[in-house]
Amino acid sequence: MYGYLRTHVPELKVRQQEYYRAVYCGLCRTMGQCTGQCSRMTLSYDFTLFALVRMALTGETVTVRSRRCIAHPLRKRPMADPNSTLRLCANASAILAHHKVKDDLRDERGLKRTAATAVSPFTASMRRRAVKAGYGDMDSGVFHAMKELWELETSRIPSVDEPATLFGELMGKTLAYGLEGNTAKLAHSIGLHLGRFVYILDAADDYAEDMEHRRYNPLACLYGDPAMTELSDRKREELRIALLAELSELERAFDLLDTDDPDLGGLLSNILYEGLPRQVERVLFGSACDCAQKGQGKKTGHPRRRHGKGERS
Amino acid sequence: MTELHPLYGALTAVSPVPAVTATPAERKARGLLSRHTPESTATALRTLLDTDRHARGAEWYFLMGVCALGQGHPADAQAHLDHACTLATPEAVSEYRTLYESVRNVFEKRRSSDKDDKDRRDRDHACCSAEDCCECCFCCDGDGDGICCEGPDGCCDCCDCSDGCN
Repeated sequence: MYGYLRTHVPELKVRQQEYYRAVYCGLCRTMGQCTGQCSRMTLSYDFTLFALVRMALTGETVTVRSRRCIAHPLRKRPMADPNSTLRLCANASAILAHHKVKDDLRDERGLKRTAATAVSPFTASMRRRAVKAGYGDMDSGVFHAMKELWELETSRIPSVDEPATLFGELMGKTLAYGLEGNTAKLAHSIGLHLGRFVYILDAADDYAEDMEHRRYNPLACLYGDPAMTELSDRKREELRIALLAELSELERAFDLLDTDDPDLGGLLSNILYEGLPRQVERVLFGSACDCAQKGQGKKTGHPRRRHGKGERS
Repeated sequence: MTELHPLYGALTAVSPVPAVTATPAERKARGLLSRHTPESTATALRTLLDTDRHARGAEWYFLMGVCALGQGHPADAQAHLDHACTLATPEAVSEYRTLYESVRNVFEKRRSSDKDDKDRRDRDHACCSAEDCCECCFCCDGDGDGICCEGPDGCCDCCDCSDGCN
């Protein structure tokens, strides 16, 4: 995934940050157990948020223990024990990673294609394990959604919202997997708007690079101006409005989450009200950077941009 | 209805009378859009997409923007409406610009009201969560190190302040 769905650390309470890290590390550990050690490389903040939302929806709690891991062998860190939510997120992450690599193999050229070719046997193995664990219907759903998305992208329609909605539907179905009734509807709605948010933000983030390498970018199709090698300030402002509209919808769905856990509620609020708006500002205007969130160094062409997205802490 | 679609007012204000220079497809699309139903919006969109790529002017982009709004696609809507404003003749530009500005205002206001609601909720539920406990705190009389009765669900039982938060 993309790593946009993250917390704003300076506004977190210490215990909330500990909780978040426990879920993040717990998810990593669960991925190692469920879909193989290689799958831990695909760990993302996005699936940590998915795990938090699923826990808020189902009321499932986590047991946190201090453990060592490969990445932190010297000092023990708080880590959530595997539970059904983390297992689902681990398997969903493996399935999506596999289909993303397949997509890259279809679309990319050069170094990215070579990289995708190199990792595809590993992602295929991750996916096999997820399917064997009983997530076959999720895999087939993701396959069809990615195929539909690819067809839509190759048709080059002048829209960013249509492919974003398709991607959002995919996220919604993944988040609502195995849930029923109103909980499933709520999960689907949260996934839909998170997916749409991520897709549009990623399109904006990659715009300059995609134009440079003549790759597909939905915003380029929408604006239809091949001479526009980077987004103008006016377009950035329009995108900001559109992304804030998604966050507004997301807020309405988040309001319906009924969680008794104050740390979980605080974390979700932090991501929605602090983390995501800051990602919008960071990607579109290169501002709202903070020293606590290091390792974000991707150049995207905007003259004021100094920071990019990053993964893994 | 305004609750269901934030731009319902702006969308129903779009005139059903087409521009003088409108093509037959654009006239048909505008007629369909004046019905304000999801089906007619989808039909209007199909009608517009079937037109010749080289015959697309300001009116076409405006109607595409209206379709996108009807379908809940704010990013597409703004791009199409912006393009329509750029291409428009002086007679038509005011209608296009009105809708474009409405989109921006509505979504921006809505988001800021979400944030205000959240800030208000935070204030209402924790009267002594600012820097330290206030004097009404029976746990520490405000002398505690930090906040002893702060919590996201509200102040604890010891809170006796006049705001009625307990």
